[in-house]
Amino acid sequence: MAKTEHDPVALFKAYIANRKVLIADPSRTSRNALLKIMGTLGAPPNHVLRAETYQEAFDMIKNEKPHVVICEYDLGPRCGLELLQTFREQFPETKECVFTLLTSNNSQSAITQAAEEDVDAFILKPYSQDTLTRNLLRAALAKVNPPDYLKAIERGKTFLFDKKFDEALNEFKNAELLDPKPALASFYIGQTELMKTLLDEAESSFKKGLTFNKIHYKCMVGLYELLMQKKLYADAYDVVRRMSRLFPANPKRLASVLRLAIMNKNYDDIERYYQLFTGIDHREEELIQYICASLVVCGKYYLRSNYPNRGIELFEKAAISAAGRAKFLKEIILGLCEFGLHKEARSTLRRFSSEQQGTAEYLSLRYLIDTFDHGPAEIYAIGNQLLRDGHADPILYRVILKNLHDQNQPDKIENIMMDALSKFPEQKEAFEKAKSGKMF
Amino acid sequence: MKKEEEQDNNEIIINLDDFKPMKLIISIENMTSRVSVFRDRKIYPKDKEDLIQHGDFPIELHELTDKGFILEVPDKCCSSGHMVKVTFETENKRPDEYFTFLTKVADDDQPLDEEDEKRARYQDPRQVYLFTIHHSDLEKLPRFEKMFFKNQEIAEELFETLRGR
Repeated sequence: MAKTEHDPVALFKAYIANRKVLIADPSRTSRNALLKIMGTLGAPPNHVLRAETYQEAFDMIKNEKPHVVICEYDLGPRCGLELLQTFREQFPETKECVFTLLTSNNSQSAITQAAEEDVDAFILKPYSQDTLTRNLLRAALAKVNPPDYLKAIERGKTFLFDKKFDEALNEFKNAELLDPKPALASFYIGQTELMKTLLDEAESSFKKGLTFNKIHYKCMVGLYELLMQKKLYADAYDVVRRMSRLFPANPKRLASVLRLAIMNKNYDDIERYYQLFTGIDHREEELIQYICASLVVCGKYYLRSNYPNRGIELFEKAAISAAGRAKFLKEIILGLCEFGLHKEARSTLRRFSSEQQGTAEYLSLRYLIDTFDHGPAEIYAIGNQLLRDGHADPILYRVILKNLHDQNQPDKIENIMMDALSKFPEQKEAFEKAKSGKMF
Repeated sequence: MKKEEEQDNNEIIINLDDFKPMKLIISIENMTSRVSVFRDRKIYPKDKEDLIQHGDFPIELHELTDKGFILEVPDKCCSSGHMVKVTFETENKRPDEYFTFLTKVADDDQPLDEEDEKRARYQDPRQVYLFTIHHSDLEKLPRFEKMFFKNQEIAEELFETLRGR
C-alpha cells in the first residue's frame, strides 16, 4: 500500500498540488505566516493568492476560483463570512472545497455563526503552526476522503441544491442506513420535506433526528424554523429557548428569539438574552432595535408588577444599548415618567446627543419631566412658550392638555386640541386621553 | 430548576464557561534602545501610569512558535538583536493571565516576495518580528500557550457539535 494512503500530510499535498489557495487577511503578518505554512503543506507559491480587503478577496474568488479559502473574520468593515456565499456560488458542489475561518474575534457567537454557515474549520488567533495544520488537514481530508455516510449526504445535498427533491430524499434515506446515529441525515430529510412543503413530515424528521442526538443543533434549528412557519410560536419558543441554554447565540436568530419571548410573555428570559447580546461583537441594527424594544417592554412589565428596581435596571440597560437612538430614549423616559420616576427620566434625558438637544422631541420630553417640579400655571406657561417658539410635538400637546384638564380650563382645551389635531391628526386618540386627564 | 433545564444540564458536553473570550493588551519595553511602547504610544522614559491611553491595541500577537511568538509592532520600536521585555495582560486584569517575557528580537521584517514588498512599502507601516524568549523565562511559555490552546480546543469541540453529524 502506498505511503500517501495513510499519511495525512502526503494526502493534503496531493490534494493541494493542483489547486489554488486564497489567503484573505488585512494583516500582512498573518498573510505571510499563512503563506509560509501553506508552502510547507505543499501549496505551490504561485497558486497562493493574497488579499488584504473584502473586495480584493471577492474579486479573486470570482476570477481565480480558489478551492481553498483561508479567511479572517474581520475583513475591514465586512465580515469574512460574507465571502462564503460567493465561494459557494463558484462551487455549488461543496466537496473538495475548503473554507476556513481564522479569527481573533473569539466570541462564542462567532463560532455558532461559522458552524451554521457550514464553514469547514474555525481557528482562533494566535494560532500555532500545529493548530493551523491540524485543522486544515482535518477539514480538507474530510472533504477528500469522507465516510460513506457523509458521501451519501453530500450527494443528497447536490440534488437538493438542484431542487431534485425525490433524488435528494433517496440519498438521505440511504445515508440514514449508513450510520448508527444519523441525526444529520434526518435533518436533511426534514429540510427536503420542508422544501416540498410537507410540514408534518418534516416535523417528524427533525424530531426523529433529535432522538438520535438530543442536542443536535441543526435538527433543533430546523424544528424551530418549521414551527415558526406553522405559526406555533409557543412551541417554537420552547425549542429556541432550549437552544439558547445549550449553545451560544447566533446573532442572526437572536432578534426573532427576542420577538418570540415578548410575544409569549417570557419576560424573565429577556435579561439572559441581553447577556448574550453583550457578548456579540458584530451587532446589526435590527438586533439593536430588538434588544432595546424588548428591554423597554420588559422594564415596563416589571414596573407594573411592582418590581421598580428591576424595571429601572432594565430601562438603564435599554438606554445604554440605544446609544443615542431617540425613539428608544423617548420610550424609556415616557415609561419612567408614567411611574413617577422623574429623577431616572432626567438621567436618561442626558443620553441625548448635543445635536439632538434642540429638537422638538427632546424639548417636549424635558418639559414632561419638568412638570414634576412646577405648579399647574407655570406648566401651562412654559408649554405655551414652547409652542410659540415652534417646538410643536405630540408629547408637548399631551402634557398641556392634561394640565388644562387638571386646571379645569375647557375653553383653552378646545383651542389647544384644534391646534394639536391640525398638526398631528394621527395622534387623536392620545390627545383625547390627555384631554380627559390621562397622560399615559 | 425546571425538569427540562435539569435534563439539558445533563446533556451539556461543553462547558461554555470554560471558553474565555479575551482581549489582550500588549506592551513592550526595549531594553536596548530604552523605548517603551504601550498601546502604540512611545514613552521616554517609561512611566506606566502615563502610558495608559484609550485607543486601539496596535501591538498584535499573531502566532505562537516553539520558543516565542510573532508580534506585529509599531514602526521602529525594535530591531533584530534587541533585548525586549514583552508584557501580556487581559482586559479583565486576571493575575493568572498576566505574563512578562524577556525576549530577543530574532528576525527582521524582510518582505517575502515582490508582492509583499510592495504592500509593505506602500500600505503597511507595521513591522513584524519573531520574538525568541530568553531561556530564563522559557518555563512560563507552556502556561502562556495553554491560555490560548484551551480556547481553541473548546472552539473546535463546540464547532463540531454545532455542525453535527
